[in-house]
Amino acid sequence: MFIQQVMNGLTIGGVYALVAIGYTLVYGVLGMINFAHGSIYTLGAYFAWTAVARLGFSLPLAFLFSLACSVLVGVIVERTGYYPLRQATVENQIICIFGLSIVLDNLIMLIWGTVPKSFPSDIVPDWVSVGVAKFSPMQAIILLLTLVILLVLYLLVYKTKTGLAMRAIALNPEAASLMGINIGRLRLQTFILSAMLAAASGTMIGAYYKIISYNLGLSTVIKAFVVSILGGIGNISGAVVGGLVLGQIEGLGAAYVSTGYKDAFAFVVMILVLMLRPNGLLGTFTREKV
Amino acid sequence: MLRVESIEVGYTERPVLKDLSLHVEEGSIAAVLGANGAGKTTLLRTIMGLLHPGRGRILFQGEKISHLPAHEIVKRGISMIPEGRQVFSRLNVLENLRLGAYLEKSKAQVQSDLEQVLELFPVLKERLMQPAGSLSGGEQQMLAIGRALMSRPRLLLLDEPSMGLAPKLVTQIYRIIATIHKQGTTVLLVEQNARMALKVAQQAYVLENGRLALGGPAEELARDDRVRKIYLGEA
Ligand SMILES: Nc1ncnc2c1ncn2[C@@H]1O[C@H](COP(=O)(O)OP(=O)(O)OP(=O)(O)O)[C@@H](O)[C@H]1O
Ligand SMILES: [Mg+2]
Repeated sequence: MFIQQVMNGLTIGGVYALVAIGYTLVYGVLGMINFAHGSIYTLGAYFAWTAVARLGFSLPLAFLFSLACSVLVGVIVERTGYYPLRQATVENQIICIFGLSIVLDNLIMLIWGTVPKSFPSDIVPDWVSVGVAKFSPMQAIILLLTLVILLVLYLLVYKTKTGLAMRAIALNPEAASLMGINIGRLRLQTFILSAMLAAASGTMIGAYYKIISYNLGLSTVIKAFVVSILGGIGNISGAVVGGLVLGQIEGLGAAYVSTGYKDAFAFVVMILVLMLRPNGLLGTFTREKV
Repeated sequence: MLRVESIEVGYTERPVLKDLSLHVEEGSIAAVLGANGAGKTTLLRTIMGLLHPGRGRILFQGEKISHLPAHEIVKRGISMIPEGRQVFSRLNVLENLRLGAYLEKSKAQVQSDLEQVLELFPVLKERLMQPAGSLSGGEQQMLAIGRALMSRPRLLLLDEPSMGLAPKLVTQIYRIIATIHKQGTTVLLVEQNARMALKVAQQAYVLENGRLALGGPAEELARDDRVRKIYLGEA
């Protein structure tokens, strides 16, 4: 029972971490919180559902289909919501991105309706009993996939030239442009990456719970936001730690306190962190004040 | 090599640079002098494409560059050491230097440039893995110069390289500037510290309230009464 709860927490926590990294990357490189992140996450789940239920794709193919669509969504959102306002005031940027997320949410309701959609129950066997222990293949797939994505992200951000340029922009965009870095292009690429992370997470959660609705992104994205705060906003390894911590708190809290309060734990954690360690558990990784 | 033709630049309605023209000869060192707020930094930022002139234009090797963004300017062979050095303080020295070579595709070229820069600045060699923010002011200035050299610029812009440094370090930095110049890089430097600048430069300009007040060979300016009084602090 305890092991099972830890596994549940790990699965969900890993997904929170991916969503939070998407936030954190956009915040670092574009300098603005992505209020449309939740909508892109929900869209990702619906793309996957459409691929499976309407186009008859297998789950892995649906996953790739969702990623491909999210690239397009990322380009559209960045080029309409961020790029034209890159010189505008923060207030105007917030309003614009917020407005865009409302448009996206309504688009989702228009296309797929407000009635929740279920994934076909035969896409993966639910639980497999091995002796006395029960284990879920879907959980294993999600954990493995999360791990692979995290590894790829780590290599990208810390071992490639593009990653170095991203970190430079996060620290000092003007100095970065003096290095010959095309900031506009890198911001677009970062946003696309963040959209892909959102879509991948949305797809995994959709396939995990097998049911999605238009407001799927809401609670997850608020929690990912909590995770970003927990790990220190702009801090990638912090997002991973934050995701895993929140996943465990939620999983164990649901098991040993009450399932009804599951979502409340996230906010209690957020309030505590903001009160005690406003820079997050690991500190921030945002721009330098010059 | 570089021609600034009657540019007008401002941050708000009020222009900071007014009808400003100057030129830098290939292979020379040119200096721009001026008091606080004269518009020296604004001039360099405009050449770098961080600001764009409302009027006038800037030509580099015959090509109009004043409408281009900064990364395109770097591509054409101009590099700037910004005011206050602006090293990436949380990245280590090596990462800072590698960023300077961002546009260079060939790894072998980056490696050989890196070796040359480290030869010029041996102190950086011992600190390659240290965060740039942990370096002293002088070391940061050297890192900023080394980083700018990593793109092998044909024209190097320096914004007050002596700012905040002890006299001994200032001498050292200026010796390095002379070396870089000898190796074939054209230099445009901006200074409040007129003494050092006039010593190394061939051509000099004096900026007052965003306008060109004086311009000519550096030796002539060094003999000018007004320059001696205001910028060299002589009676
Ligand atoms: N970002 C900005 N927004 C508005 N005005 C600015 C900005 N930067 C500079 N200015 C103004 O432009 C004028 C010239 O500034 P600039 O920094 O070019 O001077 P400077 O000659 O480099 O001075 P210093 O020797 O102090 O570095 C000043 O009046 C300054 O107040
Ligand atoms: Mg200045």
